[in-house]
This record gives sequence, C-alpha cells and structure tokens, in this order.
Amino acid sequence: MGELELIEKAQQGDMSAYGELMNLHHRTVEKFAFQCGVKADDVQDVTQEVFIKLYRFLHQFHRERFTTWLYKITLNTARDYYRKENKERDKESKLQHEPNYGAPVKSSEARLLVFEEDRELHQAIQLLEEKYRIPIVLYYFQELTYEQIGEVMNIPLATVKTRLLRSKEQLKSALARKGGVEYGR
Amino acid sequence: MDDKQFEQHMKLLKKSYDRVPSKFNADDVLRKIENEGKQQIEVMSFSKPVATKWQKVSVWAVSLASVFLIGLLSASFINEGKNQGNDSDTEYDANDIKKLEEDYQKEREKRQKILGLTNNQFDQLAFVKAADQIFAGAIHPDRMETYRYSNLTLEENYQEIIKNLRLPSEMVEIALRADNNNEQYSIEFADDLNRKIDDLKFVFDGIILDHSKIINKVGTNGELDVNYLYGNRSQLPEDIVNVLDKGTKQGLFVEVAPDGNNFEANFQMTSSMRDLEGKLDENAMDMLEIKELAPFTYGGELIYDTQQSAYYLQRIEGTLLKSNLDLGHGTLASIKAYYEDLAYTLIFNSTQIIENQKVKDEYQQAWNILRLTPGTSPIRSFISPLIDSLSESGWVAKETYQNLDFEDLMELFHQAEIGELEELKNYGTGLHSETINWPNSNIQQKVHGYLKSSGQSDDSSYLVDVSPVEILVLYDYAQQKYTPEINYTLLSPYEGSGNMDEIMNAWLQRVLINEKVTSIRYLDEKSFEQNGRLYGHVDIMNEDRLIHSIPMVLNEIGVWQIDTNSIFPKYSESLIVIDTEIINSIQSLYKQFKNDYDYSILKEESALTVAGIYLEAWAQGDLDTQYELLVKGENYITPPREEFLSYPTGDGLDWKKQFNSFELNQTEATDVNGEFNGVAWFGLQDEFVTEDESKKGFQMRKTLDGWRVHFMPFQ
Repeated sequence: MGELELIEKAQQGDMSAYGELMNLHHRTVEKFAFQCGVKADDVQDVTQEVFIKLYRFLHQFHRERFTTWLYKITLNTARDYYRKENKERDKESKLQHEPNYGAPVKSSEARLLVFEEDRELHQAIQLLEEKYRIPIVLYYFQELTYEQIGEVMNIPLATVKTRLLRSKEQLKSALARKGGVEYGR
Repeated sequence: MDDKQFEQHMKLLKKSYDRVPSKFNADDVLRKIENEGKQQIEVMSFSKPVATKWQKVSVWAVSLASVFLIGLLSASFINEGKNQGNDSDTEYDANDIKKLEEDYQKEREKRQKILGLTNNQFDQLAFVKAADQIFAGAIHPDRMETYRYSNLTLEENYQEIIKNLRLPSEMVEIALRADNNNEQYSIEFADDLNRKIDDLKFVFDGIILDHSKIINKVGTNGELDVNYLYGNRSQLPEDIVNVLDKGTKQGLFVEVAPDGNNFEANFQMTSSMRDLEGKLDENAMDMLEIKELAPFTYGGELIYDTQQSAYYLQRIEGTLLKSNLDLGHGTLASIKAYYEDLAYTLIFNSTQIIENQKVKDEYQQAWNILRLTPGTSPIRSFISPLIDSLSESGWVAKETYQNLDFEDLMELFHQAEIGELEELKNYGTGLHSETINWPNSNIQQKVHGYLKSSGQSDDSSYLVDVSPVEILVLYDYAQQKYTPEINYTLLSPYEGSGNMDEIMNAWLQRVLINEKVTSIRYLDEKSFEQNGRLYGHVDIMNEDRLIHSIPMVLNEIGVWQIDTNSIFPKYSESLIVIDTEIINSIQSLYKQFKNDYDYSILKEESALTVAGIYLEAWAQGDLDTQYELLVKGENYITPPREEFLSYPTGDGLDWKKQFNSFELNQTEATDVNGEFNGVAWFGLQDEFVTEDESKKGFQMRKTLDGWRVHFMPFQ
C-alpha cells in the first residue's frame, strides 16, 4: 500500500495503517533525533513522542511531502528534549574549556560510535549552532535536497546554501584544531 | 582538511549512524495514543472478519450500517403479527431491484453533474463509496427475506441511503426549510456536513495536485496568488476551472496553502450556510465557524498571529465547554484537536516562545489575553499562576516554564468538562465581586501606597492585580492630590478619540466619590467579555441607591482602567478577511447601484459593503458614484458636486489588491437622530506594509439611510 494511502487510512482512524506508517519511518526518526543531539539512551522516548505528536497533527496533512512533516516534528521534539535536559547552545564554550573535552563520550555513544574520528566529528557537529547543524545533518545524513531542507527549516533556498557552506567551514576548522585524526579503517 | 577528506569523513559517520539502536514498537505508541483518549469506532462489517485487532473502518460505513442494521434488527417476533398480514407487500422481485438500481444510478449522476467530476473522481468521494456499499448490501439477494420482518421497507431504507448521497449544498437547502433544531440534531447535521466537505476537499485537493505543475505559477510579487487562477481561467485545465466554479457552492474555495508552495481547497461558509444561524443550535454554528477558521497551526507553528490565536483559543474552549454532547466524536473531536494543537503551540512550543531566555513580548500579550478568559476556563486556570510567576522575574523562562506539562492543562479541561473546575473567583486578576464601606481607611492606606509606588516606576505594571474598586479609589485620590499623570494611566482612551487632553479634561471635572458615598462595589456577575477584553462597572452607592456606575475595562497588561469608550453603546464590525466572495459581491452591488443610484439597496448593507462600493468606484475612476456615497450637509466639508467631479482620477489605488481585511468601530456617541461616526480599518497586504503603517483608517458615518463615506476618508 502506498504511503499516501496509508496516511489517508490513518486519518480516517485506521490504526493498523498508522502502525505501518510508523514502521516505515521509525528508523529515519531515530537516526535524525540522534544526529540532532538526543542522547542514544533517550532516542526511543523521543521517537515515541514524535509519532504521538505526528498523530495529533495528522489531520492537517494534505498531500504535502510527508517526510518534510516528519523532520519538522522530529526537530521540534528534539528541541523540547534539549530544553528539558538543559542543552542550550551556549554550553559550547563550557565544553571547550572542560578539562575532559575531547575525552571519550558516555558509554552508549561509545558503543555506537566506535571510532574516535566518528565521535570527534559527531561532537563537532553537536557543537555547531542549531541553524548550522540542522542543514548539515539533513544534507549529509538524511540526503535531503536544498529545497527539502528549506521546507523543513522554513528558510529560503539561498539561506540553505549559505548555511551549509558556513557549517562545513566551521566543522573543518574545528576538526583541524583537534588535529584531524586520520581514519584508521 | 580538504573537501574530499571532509566528504569522506561525513560518509563514514553516516554509516556509523546506522548503528543507532532501535527498540521501537509501533504497538506501544498505538497504545499510548489510545490512552490519550482518541476514540475509534469498532468495525461493524457485514462481510469479512477483521484481520487484526487494530483494523477499523471509517465512520461513514459504521453510521450508515447502523441505520440499516437497526432498521432490520428492530423487526422482532413481537411484530410478527403485524407483518404476517403483509407478506405479499414485502416480497421484492428482480424488477423491483432493477428499478432501484436505475434510480440509484440517476441519483449518483445527478450529484456527479452538480460537482462536475469525472466518474473516477466522483467514485473517490468517501461518502459516495459508503453509500454505494450500503446500497449494494441493501439490495443483496440474501437481504430480501429480512424485509419481511423489518419495520423499514426496502424503499424506506433506500430513501435513507439516498440522503447520504446529498451534497453539502443540498443539505443546507433542506435545513433552511426545516424548523429550528435542538442541539443533538444540529450537531449531527454539522458533523455530516463537515465530513462531506472534508471528503470533497480531499478529492479537490487531489485534482489541484495533479495539475500543480501547470497552475503553480507565481504572481507579480513572486508568490502564488489565487487571483492569478481566477484571472486566467481560460488557460487552466477544465478540471481546475470546475473546482473553482463548482467548489464554491459546496463551501470550498481555492486558496494558497499555508506553506505557500501549493494551492488547496479550503472551507469557507457560503451565504446559505450563514443563513442557518437561528435554524441550527448555537453550538453547531460555532462549530462551522471554527472549522472555517481552521487550521490554526501548521507543522507545529501558529498560522494566525499570537493575539488572534489567543482569541481563537478562547472561542474554541468556550464552544467545547458549552456543548452538552460527547467531545469524543465527529466534528467536536476535531475541534478538541484544534484546541489541543493551538494550546500546545501557544503555550508550550518553547522554540517559538522563548528568545534570549525570556518569553517574547507577543506571547506575553497573548497569555494575558488568555488570562482574561471569562467563566469557567481551564486555560485561565492554567495560565494565571504561570503569568504570576514569570512576571515576577521579568518573564525569564525559568524552571516554572520548563516544568510545564501539557497533561496538566488537559486534566483541567477534563475537570471543566465534568463540572468540577470551579469558576475562578480570586486568581489575582480582580475577577471577584467586592463591596467596601466608604470612607474606608484600609483601602485609603493601600491606595496611598500605590500612589507612592507610582513615582518609582515608569509604567503602570505595579497596578496589575489591583481590584477595580481600588483603581477607582486611586483615581479619585490622584485627583485630590493633583497628580494628573496617574489619572492619565487610569483612563482607557478609545480609537479615533483624538486629543487625550480633551478626554482628561472631561473626566477630571467629574467628582467620582463625593461626601454622600456610603459604599463602593464591583459585581463580577455584571462583567462581560467582548473582543477579548473584560468589561465591568464600579458602582458608587449611597445606601441602596446607585449614584453612578463607572464603566471599567481590564487592559492588555492586566490593569483596570476607567473605560471612557463605554459611556455609550458601541457599534462595531469585527475583523473580516476580504476574500474573493466578498469582492465579487461588492462589485456586483456596485454595478447595480451605479445604474440608477437606488439608495434602498444600500440601506441595510454593512459598512464594509458601502466602503467597498466607494473604493470600487474609486478604482474605476467613477467620481459620480463616489460622490453619491459621500456624506453631505451643512455640517460636513464635502465640496459641491461640480467641484468634486473635476478632481483627477487614475491614481492607481485598487483596494482589491491593496487591502486584505476590514473592521470598523464606532468612535463617537450616537446622536439624537440615531447617527454616528465610525472609523474603518483596512488591513494592508504584505507588500504595502511599511514600518509606519500596516492598516489604513477610513472615515464613515452611519446615517438613517445607511452607511456613507466622509470626504477624504483615508486618514
């Protein structure tokens, strides 16, 4: 059954259709949430919250790109998660001055990101301002087009391109400062 | 690090992200959704058994099936005696069935023609599919025997099925001819109407999407413009022209979608639907009006501005709590969902609400509006302590805000539904009745303290939560102490009032509390809400006799003021969006009026209509018609006709392109002849908004012969 048909059925109350929809998309949500900065241990709670919220807003969906909706809601839920966990962006300077900055991350992240260079890059991405972090996550890890990124973030195409450019520069600088560990695989 | 290395790193990290663990279980989520109170209707299917425990069908099939089943199952052995004598009348042969099939097909074709849809498009309509299913079941050979024992004949059942093919326009016509209806019937009618409109919208949106590549052409401002579609109909595909033409009768109008990237068909009440006022229960009309305004959020963000969103949230809450019916079904369930979405987005959506760790100004104002919600209000119960806490810290979003839980608001709503949420009487907004004896040393001491505080503050926020009685006493005390700046802050001026000094002088002459006063009171039950503001009166008494009653209003920041506007009853026309229907109607009336200047056709028309005709004449360079609509007489500066007709035209003003909304307020007292002045405000389209101006004032006068326009009306 096509995605649009599943959505239509779900809007009419067919919960099994909604279940199928969730099964189609939960991996996208889990990975995107983690890439947005949700801790590995909290990804499941956030993912559940996304789908509960999505159901609440489902009646508003009318043939737009479904994934745009999904990303928007995941982003908003992740932001609420930050608020609750007190993860505002100004902890960047705090982290940079922490004596253990660059030290191994918590164990769940360590199990997930086995290679040190992965952890460094992931951390560097998390330290970007949100307006730079999200475009780069959506472009590289979710493989969205510029136009799709603009729809998710509600910004013009030109702004998407500018922010991607800036975030790349910032990441490259951050990694260069760390010494740019070569990948060992 | 060069680009190539960077890209390589990102690729490898992307692969690592595949290791993000997944313990996701869709059933867990579905259970949580169910627990949140979303009700579903169980399958009542004639045919196949349910595949899984989550299998449901649409409400349409259920409601139609239940009608049919009840008809069949109500036959019982108790009625056996009655039916036995009628056996020969209840047997149906193949000819009877064929006749019904032909008739049913004609009924379908009739509706298909009204809508102008193809077979495929018409078949997609959910209410048509459901009616088809039930009809097929009704004439199935296995069913024929059951009519012998049923209270409903096949023909009677058939008539019920046909009712469900009726289009919204037909339903409205029939309802207009009926007597006034009770709440239950009205809500069911509104439910059915809403569902059919939703079904039609789904099909129309599909047609629009199918042709999006052709029709999604931006206008001159670089954005999609529905006027482009109307202006270029001859170049559009037939399907789209059909949607534009036939949709409007059913209450569906093509508009630009909230994301600005597509067109969509949206519900707007037709004039016939508006005529149902008085025929339908008030709550049912509210439901239709709320549906017209929806949606209120898009992708988790507000569609209307914060203040308007707050007013709408108040209105939706009022509609839900007024209803005596179950909120779990149909349109009321949708409205409950709007309420939840809007409340969540307006109060809990921190990314939009908080900036630099503070609640943004526009949200502060919106929350203060919510705080004024009268009566039993979960929103008010929820937001008042939050505002109290945040305003103490300069609206810094501290723990109080961070620990907010949406479920608490829902719990308050539930309490209100079951009648357990007491009407707030003492929540620090002055919303409680109060009578004090006069003179009163306690109050006078308090008021003295307020006066001293005023010197330390530039604004009147120190007076938030001060009761209306104390405000009035303070006003009087400030007069005695000759501190007019305090009096100034305690007077609420009205729009178009002109010179504030004039108001001040008028009021400062008045002695509000004289030596004869024995008590001062504020009665909460006499307060009322209008346009989001709370109004009341402070009564100055001599024993049991009322000396005078001072009108009061609670302003945006929660300070009571003397309402200088309320000394006379006010006429107003609420904010209305100028849409295609309104424009077409005004243009039609303009053509009619300019033919013979028959004023009788304008006598009962609204200010918007008359203003629109004037402006249409302006756009057409039609000075004659403009002049006809001007207010004239020795008290007015309107020039003679000959002089007016010599004025140049063609200044490029086109109200249809420039303005997008209209509202009007009476600005002066009604005179002895029943006439009064008012100022209309035309909202400017985005491209015309400047730093200084987002709307244009337009002066009008209500005469005994209808609305007229002042010479040089734009302020």
